[in-house]
Amino acid sequence: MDPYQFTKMVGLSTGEKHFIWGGIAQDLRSDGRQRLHYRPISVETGVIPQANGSARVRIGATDVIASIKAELGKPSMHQPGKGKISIFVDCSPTAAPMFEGRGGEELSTELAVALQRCLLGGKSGAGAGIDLSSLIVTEGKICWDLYIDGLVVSSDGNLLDALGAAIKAALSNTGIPKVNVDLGPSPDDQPEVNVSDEEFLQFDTSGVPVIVTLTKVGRHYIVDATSDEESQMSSAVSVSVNRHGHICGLTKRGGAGLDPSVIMDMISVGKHVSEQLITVLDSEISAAEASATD
Amino acid sequence: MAIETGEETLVTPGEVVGDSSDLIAGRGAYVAHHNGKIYASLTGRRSIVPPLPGSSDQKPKVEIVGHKAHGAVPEPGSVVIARVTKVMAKTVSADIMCVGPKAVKEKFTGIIRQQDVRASEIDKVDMYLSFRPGDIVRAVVLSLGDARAYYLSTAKNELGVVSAQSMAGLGATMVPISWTEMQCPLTGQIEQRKVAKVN
Amino acid sequence: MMYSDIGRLNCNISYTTFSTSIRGQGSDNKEFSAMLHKALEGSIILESFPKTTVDVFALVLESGGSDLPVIISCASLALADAGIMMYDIVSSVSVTCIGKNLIIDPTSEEEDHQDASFLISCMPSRNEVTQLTLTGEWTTAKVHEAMELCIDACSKLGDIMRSCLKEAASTLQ
Repeated sequence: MDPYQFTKMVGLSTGEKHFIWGGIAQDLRSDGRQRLHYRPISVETGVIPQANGSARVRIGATDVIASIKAELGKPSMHQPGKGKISIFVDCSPTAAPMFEGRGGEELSTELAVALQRCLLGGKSGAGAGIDLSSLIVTEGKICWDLYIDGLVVSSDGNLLDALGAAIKAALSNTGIPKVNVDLGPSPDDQPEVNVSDEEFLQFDTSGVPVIVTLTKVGRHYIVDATSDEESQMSSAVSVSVNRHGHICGLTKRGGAGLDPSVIMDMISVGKHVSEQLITVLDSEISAAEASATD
Repeated sequence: MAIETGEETLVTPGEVVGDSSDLIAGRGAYVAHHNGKIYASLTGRRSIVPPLPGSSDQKPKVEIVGHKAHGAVPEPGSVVIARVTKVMAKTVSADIMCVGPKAVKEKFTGIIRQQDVRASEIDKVDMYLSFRPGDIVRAVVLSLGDARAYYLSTAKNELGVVSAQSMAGLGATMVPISWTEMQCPLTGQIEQRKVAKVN
Repeated sequence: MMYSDIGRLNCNISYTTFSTSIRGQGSDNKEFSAMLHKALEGSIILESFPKTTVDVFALVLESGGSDLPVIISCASLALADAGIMMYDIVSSVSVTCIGKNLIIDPTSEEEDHQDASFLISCMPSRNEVTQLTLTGEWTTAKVHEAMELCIDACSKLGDIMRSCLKEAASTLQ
């Protein structure tokens, strides 16, 4: 079943639908934005003290929180030189009435899968937003397991972009404790691990991509769709783009087919929009970090 | 594109079978709005049906006849033959057995509501004096109904019970004697039914 | 279940325990099932069968790489054979990028070493993409190259699928 079905349940009248369609066609949307304009974005970091890093991102009425927890673990057999990252998403029942009970589950999985695809790169780890080899403590023995949890607090469309931004902000807020390892005399010994309380390593988040979702309504596509606008979409393409303008992941949503040339066009528009989004996010994140340390 | 009437070729979904400017899309075909072409939506044989004489649209119709026979499916407006399974105060459940002349392959349930039993005095209908479990009923499909059952109606002279067995237990098929009564040929007992007028 | 004006599609993929080199290590079925659903959804004329569900069950007997595209193409063939009304058949192809090379229809081994991957499902006759996913780092030019490669492969695969459908239909009659 379509997890985005809930958006279709927003009862819009024919008049409202026409208003949305007409506005998008004339490049003047219901809230006064143009097709390729984002709503105001606000970023807050360090909102969850228990986590190694956290951030809250608000885009219009969409409100999401990302928290990052690091735990010591064992690297997998196949990739002894790399740490592990898992991404989970939870849609709070307060975010939308449809999320009550098990309603949000399907959407949560879909968002988590899309985020993994956008942030974790290929199987060999190439193109990943986060360098997995920086998570290794002792090769083949100890590594950091990074748990990224996204929580949707309030939903008004464009959840994937918001979650992507929140994870990016949370990662730049994350400090991984420094670890001293005493390897025993023989290689079979259990190594002794000292986790420092004072020294933290900061992440290099420059490679973390941003996610731009282009929603196709009628013949045009828009960025940062509200849930009303999402209810009118025929299909959507989410592109994640890093600082170098490289595409790091792509997901298509919605049943309707798209012409390949339209997809290529959407990718290039997404790339263009991502440049602005990266600039906005960077300044918001550094402002949030500055106010958090004050 | 030349139109050859009667020519039959095998097509698969997505194949172009004509242009909407000179053909009408019939069963198993659809018109794509972006280019006006007619595509097949089934695997099967393409056939071109010439327009009916006297119809307003003089374009021939292109149809795809599926390569596999499907069981009949009831749709609104179709006349069905159903067997009554359960009679309740306000509704009757029945299993649909035939759609038109074709037997169904799957199980389709229908319900006849009190207001759909007959055309007159619809609020005075007593369901227990209209149907009994086991009766064979001819009905028309009103709508797809709810998730469980189709809504059926017998509110026409030619609709209603077409075959019923007497309560006497001898299993004799009763003879209709009026539009509300049937009689057992063995015992002479008269039972109440919403009887269909069979020609 | 709720009444619905249009038909529903339900997809489920499972792996046999012996389908992979390590026993019982099939891929994430839930994710695959969702992807299969998305790839097929746009091709079926759901309006043609109200309050009805079409179940698609795929069982992978032997996993040797490019599982999902094969499942998608196979499921679409099965739907066409079943006589479900469709806009078009769906053919699907994946490409793996190792270093600078694009490899079409990768094997499991190639997939294990992939730097980036690209999967496309499309309706060849309508020239529409129903599902597209991409992982790893790509330049726009490379995406373009992969897309062209895949679309071309999809249309070729589509032709094979069509002739196979026709063959099956003509032997039946």
